[in-house]
Amino acid sequence: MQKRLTIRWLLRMLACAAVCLCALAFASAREVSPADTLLAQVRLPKVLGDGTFEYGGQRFNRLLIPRYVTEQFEHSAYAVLPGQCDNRVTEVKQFLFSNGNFPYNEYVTYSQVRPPKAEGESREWIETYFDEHLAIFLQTLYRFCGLEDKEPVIDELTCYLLESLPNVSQNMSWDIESAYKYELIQQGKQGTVSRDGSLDNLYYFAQTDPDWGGEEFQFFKIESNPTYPNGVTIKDRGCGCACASMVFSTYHMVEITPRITAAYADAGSWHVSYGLPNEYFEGIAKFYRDFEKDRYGTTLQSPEILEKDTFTIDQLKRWLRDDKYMAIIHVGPGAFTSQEHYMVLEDYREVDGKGYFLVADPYVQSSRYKDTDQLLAVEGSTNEGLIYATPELIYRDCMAIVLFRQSREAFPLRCKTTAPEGNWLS
Amino acid sequence: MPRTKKKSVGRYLKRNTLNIAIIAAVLLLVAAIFAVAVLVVELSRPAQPEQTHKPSSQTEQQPAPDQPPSDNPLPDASGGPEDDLTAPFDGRMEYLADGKLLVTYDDTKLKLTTDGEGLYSLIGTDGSQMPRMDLQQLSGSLSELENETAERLCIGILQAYYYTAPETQAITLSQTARATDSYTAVLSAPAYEGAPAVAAKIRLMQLDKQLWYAIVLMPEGADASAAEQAFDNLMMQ
Repeated sequence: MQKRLTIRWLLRMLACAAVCLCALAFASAREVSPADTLLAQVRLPKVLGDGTFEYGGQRFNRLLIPRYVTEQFEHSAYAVLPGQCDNRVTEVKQFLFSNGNFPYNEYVTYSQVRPPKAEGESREWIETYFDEHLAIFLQTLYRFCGLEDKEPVIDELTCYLLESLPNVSQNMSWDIESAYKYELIQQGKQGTVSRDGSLDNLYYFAQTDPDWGGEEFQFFKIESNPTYPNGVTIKDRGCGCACASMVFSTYHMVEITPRITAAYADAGSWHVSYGLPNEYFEGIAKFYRDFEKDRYGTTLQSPEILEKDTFTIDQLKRWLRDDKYMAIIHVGPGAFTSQEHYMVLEDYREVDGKGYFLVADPYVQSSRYKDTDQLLAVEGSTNEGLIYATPELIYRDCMAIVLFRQSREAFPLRCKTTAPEGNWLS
Repeated sequence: MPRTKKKSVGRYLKRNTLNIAIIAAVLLLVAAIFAVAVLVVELSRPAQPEQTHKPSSQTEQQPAPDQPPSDNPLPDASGGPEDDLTAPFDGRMEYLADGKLLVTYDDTKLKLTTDGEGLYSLIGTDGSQMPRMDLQQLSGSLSELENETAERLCIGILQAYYYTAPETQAITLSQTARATDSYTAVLSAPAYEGAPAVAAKIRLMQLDKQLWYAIVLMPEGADASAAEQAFDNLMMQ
């Protein structure tokens, strides 16, 4: 009797599953008609129209999609919009972030998928959030597919296009990525994505970030004192690495985290007692000079180390505001630190009629600041590592700057493909 | 003497309603899994490689004077007037589809090319890509195509010429004719994304067990008389 009841229970469960599966199948099935099945065999040459499009002053080759394929997706069972959180966003981000799918591309960055700040934190994972960078990437993909009028959305057509993306040639994948990164700059939205999904429109990495802050920052062992403090972390001494990450990421338009720049410091034994010397930046810039030359054509020029008395504050303003250079400032005891510290000077701007340097401080602890009358919070930003500082304060605390004499907004846009691609759809 | 109970069908159904419903649901599940599997197989079939010819110097098209598309009446859909495939006019003859399809064309103006993978094309003797006629075999059967499907197929064949095709509703299907072994349609598409307005005739042909299509593409303002003549005089055996 009990056995019969168990069998009956199992059959009931199967019946429920059957109903659900049928509903799901009908809900998500693409509308493939008998005509479409025959059209998939048609091999006519392209003789009408143009397989290229103009963007950013360059002509790019299209990804070709038969009209009957796009019309199969006229009605989608789902649509996730920018600003929404959804598991489908997670699937898309993980798919695009995967080195297995795209070993030579950065369509989605680490900052778009990183885990929550602290276990149990109530804040949603960034990877479920349809952020602006993902929206701009989809717009770029649509542009290549001749779907310029389509608004960014995660729907069935978009998922179909993304699933087919690993089939494109490497040159085409780089064309898409270059156009995407270029568009980020044009919209002023390049940079990292904060954990809450907001953008600061610059690459920011904190030495205090829980993702790597606790990792050991190996110190050069002094033979006379083998027990010289080890166990010092990136959070303790990694301001130089974090600054290098911010600057290099900006010039190469890829996320180079402090984990990577710290590894270089370890490998090159650059450490001194307080952290890293100014010369570290020369060395690492040389090492990463052609980091993305193949992919983007970007090159990082060697910086200049300028002691305080070799430049004026007005020159520094012009370099950042007009020439759009970047600088890493080496400060001594003062408003920001009681010892020495590195920070990035991102820009020089006017706020309410007064000029300020936009400072990216990799050590996130604004409560330690002094001379706060010469500091100003960055309105609209949730990033506590960004602060405005007056020129007087900057010059007072400055010991030296590491100046990168190249525009932070320069990005060479070029087309690597020689023909449109038609044989890429899954 | 023991009394035997006669089981009635009605009583049996009444007692086992739930079980029957459950079994029906399980069968539905199996059918759904089968349908999904068929769909997955269909969708995972690799796309046929598409050729991306760069258009010839004809891309430097001059503004075309307004000319109405060809108003030749639809030819007899069942083929030429004679059953023995005698050449319909003084032109070069080529047999395709295992001899079941005769293509006759003016070889002073057109040449027949093939991509070696089943597509045959009549293009200009100077290599110009338009006007043109193309023929290709498809894996299917004309008898299984309802009129709506045939129309959709014809529109899709025309759209296949475009890098970025106009929407289906932008393409006009003006005439259709159906016979036992053929389906013919006349279409027109407006100028779109740098492409000129075009007219086209398409014929779907059942040649024994083979399904073929032929399409003549006639851009507005171009002299397509030779290509159209070849299309109109296709002969099926």
